[in-house]
Amino acid sequence: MFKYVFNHNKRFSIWFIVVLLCWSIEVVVTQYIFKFIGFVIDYGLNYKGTPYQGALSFLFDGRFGEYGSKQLIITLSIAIVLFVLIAYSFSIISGIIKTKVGNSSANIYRWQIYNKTRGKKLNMSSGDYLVFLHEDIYKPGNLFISTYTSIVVYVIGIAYSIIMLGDISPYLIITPVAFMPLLIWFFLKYRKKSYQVNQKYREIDGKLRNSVANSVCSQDQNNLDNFESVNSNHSAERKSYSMFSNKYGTILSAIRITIYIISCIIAGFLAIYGKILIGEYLIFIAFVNTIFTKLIALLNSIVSINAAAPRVKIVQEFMAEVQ
Amino acid sequence: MAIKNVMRAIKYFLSNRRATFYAILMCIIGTACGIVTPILNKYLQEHIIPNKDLSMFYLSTIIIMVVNIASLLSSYFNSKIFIKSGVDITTRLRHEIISKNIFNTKHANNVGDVVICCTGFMEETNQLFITYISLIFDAMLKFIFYLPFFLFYGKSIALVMIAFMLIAIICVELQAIIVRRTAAKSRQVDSERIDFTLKMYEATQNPNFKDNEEISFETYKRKVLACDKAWLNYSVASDFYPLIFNLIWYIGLGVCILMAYELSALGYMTLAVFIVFNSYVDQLKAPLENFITFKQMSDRMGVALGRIYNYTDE
Repeated sequence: MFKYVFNHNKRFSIWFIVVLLCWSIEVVVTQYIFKFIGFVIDYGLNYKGTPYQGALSFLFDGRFGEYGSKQLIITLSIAIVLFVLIAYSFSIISGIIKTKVGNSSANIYRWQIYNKTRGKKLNMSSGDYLVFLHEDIYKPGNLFISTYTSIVVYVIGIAYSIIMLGDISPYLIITPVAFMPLLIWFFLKYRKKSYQVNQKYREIDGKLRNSVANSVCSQDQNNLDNFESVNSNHSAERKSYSMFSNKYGTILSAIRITIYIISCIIAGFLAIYGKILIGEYLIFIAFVNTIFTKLIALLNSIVSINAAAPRVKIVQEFMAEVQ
Repeated sequence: MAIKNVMRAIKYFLSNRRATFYAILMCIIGTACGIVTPILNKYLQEHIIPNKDLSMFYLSTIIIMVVNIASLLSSYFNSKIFIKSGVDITTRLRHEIISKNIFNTKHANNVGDVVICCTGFMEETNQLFITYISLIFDAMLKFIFYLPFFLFYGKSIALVMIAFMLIAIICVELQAIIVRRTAAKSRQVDSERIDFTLKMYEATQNPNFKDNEEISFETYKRKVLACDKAWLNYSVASDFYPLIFNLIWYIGLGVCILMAYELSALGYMTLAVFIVFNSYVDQLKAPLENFITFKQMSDRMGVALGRIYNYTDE
């Protein structure tokens, strides 16, 4: 699938790299904010804190080593504001690129469809045609620029956070690494079900569009009856789809809470026995949350590829037929 | 007008008193749970870790566990209530649109608009219930519960942060004018495109079809590109909101850090108290963002709801 998209959108590969770069910088910048805040907290707790000059020197190649604590606090405030500015600017740039690439990619297909299907009887209803031209057609482009880039960025983010944790204390890597298989197992278990629920809902959603288009101004009681039945099925499927997501989200949160509590216990023990400092304890909690937020987002992206795959296949097949 | 339409949708939800009662109850439980963690963190930093008090450490771990489980369950049941109510309301609205328009030839040229009202706009209305109205319930309660703790721990710093919060709200509101304008334009061209696509579907399947004044490749291309441009403008305008909000927020936080440093040097504040204050700043950030998001989504969804009501009120 990746190969197909890449072959059909070669000129977008450069944008793929640009978006990847923007997001990666954003990820690294965010990690540094956490680490910097943690070090300053420790520095603040130990006013004469010379041991932390070393840690800070490590962080910024010794540039801040010569400053006193007040300058450090001022630098922290300015750094946070600058980091926010950089991170959100990159987010805006990557957003523009993603939208433009998604639209251009969809339009390449649209122009071909218009020109090559003129005068031909299509084997799809008006509702399906609408869904195809308004939603499915975006899938290959979006998948290429959005989903794949986010997967790479999440992997970078997770790896980077684990390295940063190991930097504080090697013991701290145990929790995230131990719980990763549990999360992955959970995802594999629910992926199939999630895909089925999603497909079922999409199917009934397509039927609803069709039924609405057929019912308006038709003056036909049969169409109204058919609409009522589709509307009621749609309602049931919509509820089941949302309830499934809610249940699945809650289980996921429960796993995250378990990880959070175990992390608190490990970090608390390390802090009590003087192996880590309070600031390090605080950034540890933040890092563990980041790792698992990114891991969940990563697994969600993989699930979304699976969910999008049949739609991309429809676009591919249709385009092959048209050509 | 947009907010009036959203309020009408909220009234549909509030008319189900049982659901409203349970939704508020769940929000109260969730909010109350959020108060405990920062205070426990302060205790951990000031007493448990320095004194190596293991028994208190175990107790605080159990409290954190209970609080998190309660918060999780309240959030689960709250979502359930909003999903059920939201889907029931949109199903009813859809039924009203079709039953009132099936024998009405007035909309013969507007099929695309009716389709988007019954599907796309209705899905947005669903999101309004499932996501945004539940968020606003939660945000209101969080403000009521957290504000006293925020003021108690922050004192003069809290007032400075409130000033920055107000500046952030004003700036975001000014920027929302642009978002509103671009959203309205995006909806208008999208509806035109759907209408055109349906006509195109009917016309181009005719074996003798040739491009004409009404349906041609150029017209189609123009409509699609207009839609893309309008959507891009809307996305860029919307993407600026987090930048503006977070920039002002973190400038405020930077000023607070400096003030806390000066106050701690004078002995009026300890670092642990500042960390608790900072936790409440964090806790208030999400509800404030939710208020702003809700306001922005109300502008967008209010237009969609207005179009839905046009058909249901006929």
